Amino acid sequence: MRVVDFLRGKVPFLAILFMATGFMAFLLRLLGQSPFSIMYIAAVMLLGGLLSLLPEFLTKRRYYGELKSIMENLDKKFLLSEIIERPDFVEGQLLYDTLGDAGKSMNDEIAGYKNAYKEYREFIELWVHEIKTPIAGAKLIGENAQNAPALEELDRIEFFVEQALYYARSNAVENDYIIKPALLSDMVGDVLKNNAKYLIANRISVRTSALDLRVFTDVKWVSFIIRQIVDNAVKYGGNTIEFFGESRGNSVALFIKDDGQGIPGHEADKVFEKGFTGSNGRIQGHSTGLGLYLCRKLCHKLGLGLSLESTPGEGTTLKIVFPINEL
Amino acid sequence: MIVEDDATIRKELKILLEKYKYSVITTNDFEDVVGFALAENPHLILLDINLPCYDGYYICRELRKHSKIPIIVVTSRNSDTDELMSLNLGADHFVTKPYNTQILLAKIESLLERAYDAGTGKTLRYGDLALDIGKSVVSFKGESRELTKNELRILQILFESPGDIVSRDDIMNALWQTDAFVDDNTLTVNMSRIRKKLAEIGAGDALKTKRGLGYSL
Repeated sequence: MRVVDFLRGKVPFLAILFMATGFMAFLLRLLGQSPFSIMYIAAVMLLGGLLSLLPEFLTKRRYYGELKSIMENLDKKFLLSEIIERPDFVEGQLLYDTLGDAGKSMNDEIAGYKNAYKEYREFIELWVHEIKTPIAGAKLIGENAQNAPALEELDRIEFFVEQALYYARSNAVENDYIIKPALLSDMVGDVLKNNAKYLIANRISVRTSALDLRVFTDVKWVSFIIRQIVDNAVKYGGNTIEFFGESRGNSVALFIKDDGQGIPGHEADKVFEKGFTGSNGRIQGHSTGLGLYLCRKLCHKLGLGLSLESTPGEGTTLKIVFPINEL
Repeated sequence: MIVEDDATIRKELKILLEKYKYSVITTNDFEDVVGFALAENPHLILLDINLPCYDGYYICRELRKHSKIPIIVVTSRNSDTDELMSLNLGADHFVTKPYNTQILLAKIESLLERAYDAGTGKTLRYGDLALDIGKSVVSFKGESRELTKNELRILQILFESPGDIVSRDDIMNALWQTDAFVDDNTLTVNMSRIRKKLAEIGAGDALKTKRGLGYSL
């Protein structure tokens, strides 16, 4: 708070002060006082009037200065009213009380949404677990009847159900993950085995090399990410998918390379955005714009790097980087 | 023995396992699963977690107090805590629904082998043709040839359902489950090597090709 700004708010007071001083000087002049003594008395009065503003100015400057710096350093700014102190001057108190009420109602509102969101997430998780039983039943029926096309469709259903589950969970990764040492080959192998039917039916050749590298991560989430990437590779015309690892100093990278149609350069940055389907997605027609978005989000939460390189017509390479912190 | 409250899964799983020559018992009374299991004393239990009356965790813990029966927990919950809990309570494996039946069968087989030493020295026969799994050797009337890992696995699949036509995709799927991610061309090479080895020991016509369908013994 600057002196000028403060004084600007005190214009009526200052005007009255000056007018009263002027009037008094006029009266004193009529009473025949000497100009020197009139000026002296007027100066004392003006100074006294201005000095009386000083304590108020100092109090307010301290209080609002503090308020501003707290606000700037606050992570969740809407919690301001719970952190500041109640001031000892009356306008400040009024403002403080109002702000407190507004904050409270805001918190109630947020708590309401949090609750609703949590309930919804729990419902999705429960629903996914419920639906897995009939899917498992249907798959067994298909298996016994040796109905390969039906089984393939069921695998697709399972894939999408799984995606819904992981999407619901993706905002609360911290509630459900366990960091363990794992081999790249185990995670890749897991995905390939679980999706063997789908990949074989699509005549995909798989090559793996240099996957004997150890990383520290959560196997379940990473397997999900790899699965999304593999699904994309198949969806966008890959015939060969190559997995290889690379160790460099304090990180291990897993490369997943396909020979599909690739992604045009100007779209390469956007594929990780939610809902982005791109020109390939429009041509293919069943792109949801969800897979890679989820991958990036989960990688971010797990502290992994995820990047993409692509040459249109030649294929796409996804790279997942695992930092290695040997404790 | 299958402990599962969903009737469809129970029935279909039974059919599947019986196809692979396992004898299967089931129950739809979940009041005293532990007592029933101990009385029947099966070689292996497939245990669901979500059950009426008592949940699978409880049953698992109770069974472990009395018996070392191999237990595979089968569940639709797939959080890490569930897996940890099952394994802590003494389950041997944890499989999530909907399961890949190849993986389930592989786990059953390996668990049975480990628990009852059934796998060592196992030899499969089809007529005069014999497949020694332990030594990875195929023999016919005194002549024999060594097999590679993939060749052994392919022949094992064919021996396990003699006379049935097994499709190329099914063979590939089975190979993938053993970390051999072969493609079409590799499989063709493998098949012709097997055919050559069989011919060398005089059993060239044992392996039949059904064009467009697959192979059979």
